[in-house]
Amino acid sequence: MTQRPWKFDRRLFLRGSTGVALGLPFLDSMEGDAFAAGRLELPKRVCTIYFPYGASVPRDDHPDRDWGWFPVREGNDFRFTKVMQSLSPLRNEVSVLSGLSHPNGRKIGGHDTGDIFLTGAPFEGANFKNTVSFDQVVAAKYGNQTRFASLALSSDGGVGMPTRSKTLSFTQSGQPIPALDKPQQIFDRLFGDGGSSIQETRERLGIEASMLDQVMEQSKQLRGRLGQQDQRKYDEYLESVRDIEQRVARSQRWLDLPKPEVDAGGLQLNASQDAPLEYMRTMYDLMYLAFQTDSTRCITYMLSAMNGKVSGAFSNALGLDTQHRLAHDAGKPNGYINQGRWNQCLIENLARFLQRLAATPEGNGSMLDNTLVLCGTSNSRTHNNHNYPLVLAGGRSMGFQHGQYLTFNDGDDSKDKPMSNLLFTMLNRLGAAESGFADSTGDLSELTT
Amino acid sequence: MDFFLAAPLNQPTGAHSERCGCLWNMRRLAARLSDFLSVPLLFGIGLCGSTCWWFANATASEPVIPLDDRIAPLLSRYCLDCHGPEVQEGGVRVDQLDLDFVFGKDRDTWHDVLDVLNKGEMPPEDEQQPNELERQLIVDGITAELRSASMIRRSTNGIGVLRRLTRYEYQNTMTDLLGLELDYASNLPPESSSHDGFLNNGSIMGMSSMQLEYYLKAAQMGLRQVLVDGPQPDRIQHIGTENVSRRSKDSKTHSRNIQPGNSFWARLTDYPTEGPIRIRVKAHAVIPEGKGLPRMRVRIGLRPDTYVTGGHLGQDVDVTATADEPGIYEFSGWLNRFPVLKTKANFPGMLVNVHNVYDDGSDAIEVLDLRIGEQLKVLDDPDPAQPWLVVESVEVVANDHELWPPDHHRAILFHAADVPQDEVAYARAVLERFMRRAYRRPATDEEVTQIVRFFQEVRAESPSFIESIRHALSMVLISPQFLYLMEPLQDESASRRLDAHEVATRLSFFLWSTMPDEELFDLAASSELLEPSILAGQVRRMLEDPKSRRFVEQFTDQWLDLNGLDRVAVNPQFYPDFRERTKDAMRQETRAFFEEILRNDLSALNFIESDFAMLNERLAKHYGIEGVVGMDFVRVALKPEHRRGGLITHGSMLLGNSTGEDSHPIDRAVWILERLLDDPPSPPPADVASLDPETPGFAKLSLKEQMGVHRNVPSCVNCHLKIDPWGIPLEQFDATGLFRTQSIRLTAEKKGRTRNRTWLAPLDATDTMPDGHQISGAKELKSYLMAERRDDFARAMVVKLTTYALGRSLELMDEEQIESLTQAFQNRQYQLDELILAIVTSDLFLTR
Repeated sequence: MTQRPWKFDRRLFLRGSTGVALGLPFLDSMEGDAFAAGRLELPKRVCTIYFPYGASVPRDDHPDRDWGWFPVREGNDFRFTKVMQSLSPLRNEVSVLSGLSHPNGRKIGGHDTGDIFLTGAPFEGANFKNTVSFDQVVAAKYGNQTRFASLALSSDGGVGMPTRSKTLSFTQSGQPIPALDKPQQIFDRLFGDGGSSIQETRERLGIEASMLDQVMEQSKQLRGRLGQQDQRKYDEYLESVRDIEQRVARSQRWLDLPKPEVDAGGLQLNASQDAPLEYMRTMYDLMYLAFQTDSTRCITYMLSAMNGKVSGAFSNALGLDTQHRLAHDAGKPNGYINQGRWNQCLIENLARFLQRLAATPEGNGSMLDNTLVLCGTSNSRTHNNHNYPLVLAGGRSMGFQHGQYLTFNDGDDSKDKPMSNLLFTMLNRLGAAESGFADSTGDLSELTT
Repeated sequence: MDFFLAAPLNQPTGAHSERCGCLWNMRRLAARLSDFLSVPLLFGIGLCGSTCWWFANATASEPVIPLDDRIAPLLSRYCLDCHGPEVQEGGVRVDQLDLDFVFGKDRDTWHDVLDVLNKGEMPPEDEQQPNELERQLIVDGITAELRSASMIRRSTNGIGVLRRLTRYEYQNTMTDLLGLELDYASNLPPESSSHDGFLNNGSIMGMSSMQLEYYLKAAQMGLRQVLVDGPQPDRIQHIGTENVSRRSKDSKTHSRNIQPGNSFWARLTDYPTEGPIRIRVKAHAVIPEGKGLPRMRVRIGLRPDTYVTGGHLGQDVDVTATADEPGIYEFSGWLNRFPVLKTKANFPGMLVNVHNVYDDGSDAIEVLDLRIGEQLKVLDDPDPAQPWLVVESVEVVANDHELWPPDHHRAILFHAADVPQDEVAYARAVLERFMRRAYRRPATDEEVTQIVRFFQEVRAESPSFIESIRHALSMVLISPQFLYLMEPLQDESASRRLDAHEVATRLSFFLWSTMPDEELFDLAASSELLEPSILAGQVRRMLEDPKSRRFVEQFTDQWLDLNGLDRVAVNPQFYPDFRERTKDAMRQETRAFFEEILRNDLSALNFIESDFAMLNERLAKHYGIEGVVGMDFVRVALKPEHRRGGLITHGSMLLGNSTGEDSHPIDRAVWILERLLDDPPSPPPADVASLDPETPGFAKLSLKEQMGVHRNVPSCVNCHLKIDPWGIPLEQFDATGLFRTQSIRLTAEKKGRTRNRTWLAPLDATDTMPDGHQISGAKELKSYLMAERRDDFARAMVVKLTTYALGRSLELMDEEQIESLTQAFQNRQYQLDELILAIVTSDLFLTR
C-alpha cells in the first residue's frame, strides 16, 4: 500500500468539554480501524515549553526541600514534591530528568542560554550564530503532512535579540523564527478563513504564487547590485520569499480541505499578558487545539524568556516577585518556597495540558501517547548553567517509558550529560534523526523501552 | 612560547584611569584591524595626519601582540606548571594557545581561561596564587582582547548593512503612502534592540517568511480600503442622547454628568464594520474651583460580548465649553481599526464610549480602563468636587464620503471616474507614480515593466481593473525596494556619496520615522537637496513639523530605555500609594524634557543637571512638588529641596532600574555608564555564583553593605569597583523614584499564620569612584558628571544621536568624525538642533 498523507474527515464534529466544537480529525471510524490494524501510521507530535532562570533547587537537607522542583528519592522510589503534585495522576506518563545541560551553554552567561535550549549551538561572544533547533528538524520531516509545518509561540513575541531570544525555534540556517504571542492572531492564523469561499481563496493563492515567483526573479537581479555584506542580509529576504512560496503552494494543496471549524466561544482570545494565568491557559488551549485539529505536529512555546519584558512579571499574578528576582532570592528566607510556588503554577498548567491530551483517544491509545512534551529551563539555580530541570511526558507509542526520576550526572554537576542526547533520543524516536543532533554523544536509553 | 618573545607595544603608561586603557585598546584594535582588513590603507585616508596619534606606534607590518609583556610572564608563572610543555591538565596548554582572538581556533578556550580566572577556580587553591593586582591585570588584558575581537568581527568597514523599515516606520510609511491611517503593523513581530540599544539597527533586524506574509496581508487589507469599487455605500447616521447600559438587554439609562473615570455610552444597532466614521459629541464642562478642564476621550468597538477593549478615535480633547454654549467636539477615523462585532452575538450592537479621563493625580479619581471586571462607581451620583463632562448628545456618522471615489483613491488612481481606453498605459502611469513614492526614488523602466507585466497577467484572468491594480500594487509593497532602505554599494571597499533621493530618505526616516514628503521628493528630484544651505533649511523645516514628535519619542525611548518602566512591576506591599498610571507620566516627563531642550535651543548639559523639570499634576504630586495643575506637562522651576533636575533623577530612570521593591544600584549604574557615558561595563562572567544571603545578619545590612558581600568575592570585585559607585549615590531614591532616608524591607513572620511585615533599614549613599573622588548622594553625582565627565557625556550624546541617525552601530573608523562632531557640539553650547544639523551635513550621513 502506498504511503498517503494522513487526512481527516472534516465533517465529523465533536463537542469538547469546554463547549468548543471541534473538527476532530482522528476518529473517523474507518481510518481508526486502519490504525488499529497498523495499516496507517499514527502521527508523531512534539511540543516544547521553556521558562527562564532555573527552578527551585534547595539542598536535600534544606527545610523547604518539599518546595524543590526535583522529586525526593525514597530508596528505589521517589515522591513528587509540592511543585509537581499536580502531575501525580499522570505519574506513569511523565519522567523527571536531571543531570543534563548543553556543554556550549556552560560557557556563556547565566542569562544567555535561552537561545540555545533547543539548538545546543556554540553561541560564543559576538558571533551569536545559532543553528537549527530541534523542532525544525521534526518540521522538516513531517511539516508537509499538515497545514502548518510548525508553530512557534512565546509570551513575549517576535525574535528578541541574541542571548535574549523570544523564540525557541531557528531555521535550518539558524535564523530565528518569530514567535506569535497574541491568542487572537494565533487563532485566526490556525482557524480563520477570512470569510472567503474556496474559489476566491484558490484564485488569490494562484495570484500570490505568481506574484512571489516574480518578486523572486526581480529580487535576484537586484542582489547583484549589492555588496557582499548587504547580500548576506538580503539573503534573509530571499529565503523568506522562497519559504512563503512553499507555504502558498502548501495552502493550495490544502485548499479543498477547509480549515477546521473551531468555535472560539470557550476560549479567552482577548486574554492578554496582563492577566498571566488566563493568558497561559489560553495559550495551552490553543496548543491543544492545534494538535487536535492536526494543524501542525510541532509546537514550541517560550512561556517566558530571559529578560522577557512582559513574561518576566507573570509570577506577580501569584503575588510573588518577578521570576528573575525569585531566582536570585531563592537562598533567602522563604526563597525556595516562593520560587517553588511559581514552579508549581507552571507545572499545574502543564499538567492540565497533558491531561487533556491523555483524555483524547487516538488510535488505540490517547493523543498523549503520540505526542512528546518536554518542559524545562536552561539553568538549575540562577546563573548556573548545569543540571537543567526537565520534565518529559508522553510518546508511549514511540517507545518512551515513564514514571521515572532519572539522574544522568550521579549528582555531580560537572558530570552532566549533553542535553542534546535527550533531544537526539526524542528525534530518533520521532523518526526524524538517525545519527545524532547538534553535539549529542549518544542516546539516553533509560527513557525508552 | 611565542607570545612571550614578541616585542611590546609602546603602550601609554600611567595609572590614571580607564580612559587611558580605552585608548590603549583603540590603538591595539587599529593594529589588529589593519592586519585583518584587506585594505590596510583605509585608515590612511582620513585618520593619518596629526589626529592619528593613537595609530602612530603601530603599523601594518609590525607583529601583532595580543597579550602584552606584563601579562605573559604572569601566565607563565602561574599556569605553565599544569598547562605547559610538560603537563597539559584538561588538555589545555596555555603557551600554545592561538593568539588570534578574532578568528583563531582557540577563541573559546580564551573565554574559558577568563572564566576560570574570574571565578577564582584557577589556579587551584593548593597552588601558588597571583596577588589581586596581578589577577586583575590578566583578567583586564584578556577581557580587552576579547572585546576588541568581537568589535572587529562586527565591523562592516563603517558602511553598516542593508536595513529594512522598523515596525513603527512601516506603520507610518504605509499610512503616508496610502493616505489612510489603518492598522498595518500590529501583526508584525515586535522589534528587538541592538547591543547599543536602538531598534533601527540594520544588523539586528531580521526577515522571516511569516513577517513577509503579514506585509502582504497588510498591503492587501490597506488597498482594499483605499481603492474603492462599486457605488458609494449608504451614509449611516445615529444620534444618541441617553447614556445607555452596556448590555443591550438592560434598558436602564444613566446620568449624563460624567465625573472623571466614568463614561457616556451610546449604542448603534445598525452599523457598518468598515469605512470612515465620524463622531460628534455635543458637550460642556462643569468645573469646580481650582480644578482643571475635563478631558474627553472617544473609543469605539468595545465588544459587549467579550469586553475586548476598543481603541481611541482621534486625539483626546480638553472640554472648555459651558452650559450656555455647549461645544461640538469631533473625532474621526476608520472603522477597520476597531474590534467591531461582525457576526451575531448575545449582545449585539456597536458601542461608542465617551470617557472623562481627567486626572489630577489624586486617589479621588480612578480612571478605569473598561476591561473585564470594571465597575462604574458612583455613576449616577457624580462627585461635585470633580470636573464633570456633561454629554448632551453623541452623533455617529459612518460612510460619510464627501467625494466618491474618495481622495485617497484619487491620489493613486488619478482618472477616478472611469478607466481610460488604453488600460495598460494607464496602469503603467499609475504604477510609475506609486512606485516613485514607494521606492523613494523614480523606479527604473525595467522595474515598472515587471510590475506592469504582472498586472497584465492578473488582468487577463480577472474581470476587475481595480482588483488587478490592487494585486500589482501589493507586489510593489512586498518588494525589497520598498521594505528596505536600499543604498546599493557594489564595491564595499570604497564608500560613495549618497544621491539626493537616498539623502532625502535617510533624513526623513531620521527626523520623521517615515517616507519623504513631496517637498523632499521635489528637492531630491532636482538634486538641490545636496546643496548644504538647502539641506540645512530642510532640517529646520522638518524639526518644526509636528512629525518630528516621532523623532522625540523614538529617540528618547530608545536612547534612555524608557521601556524599562514596563519591565518593572511595583510591589504594592512596599508602595501601597503608587498608581500604575504614574509610570506613563514618568515616560511623558522624560520625552517632554528632551523636547523642551530640543525646541528651545537649551544646552544638552541640562540632561545632567537642570534647574527645571517638565511635570504635570499627577507626577508633581508624586514627587511632592506643589503648584502644578492639569494633565499637560509644563516647565516647572526647581528648588534645591525638590532634589530633582537632570535625567538621573527622573522617575523613568529610577523606577525602570529598580526591582519594584527597592532600588537596583547596579542597573542604575549600568544605565548611566551605557546611556550617558557610552562606556558599558563588561557583562558578568558565565556561571557566576549569586549573592550568599546566608551570610549572618545579611537581611539587616544596607543594600550597599549587601553588595559589599558580593564585592568580597575576588571574581566580582574587579568589575564592581568600577560599576557600583555610579549607582550607590542614587540609593537616596526608592523604587518609585522618591527621595528617602531609609529603605523599606519586608519580612515574612510566622505567628500562627504567616504575615508580611515591613520595616525600615539603613541606607548608605556614599561611595568612591575609581579615580578616588568620593561621592555622596545624587547631587554630588551630578556635580561630578558635570565637572569630570562632561566631555565623555558630550561624546556619548554624539555617539547615540549618530547611531540612531545612521541606523547602524558606530565603528572604529568613525572615531575621527565623532571626535570632530563632539568638538562642534561643545563649541555650539551643546545644542541638540545644531548637533542634528552637524550630523546630517557630515560625511558619515552623506556617504556610504
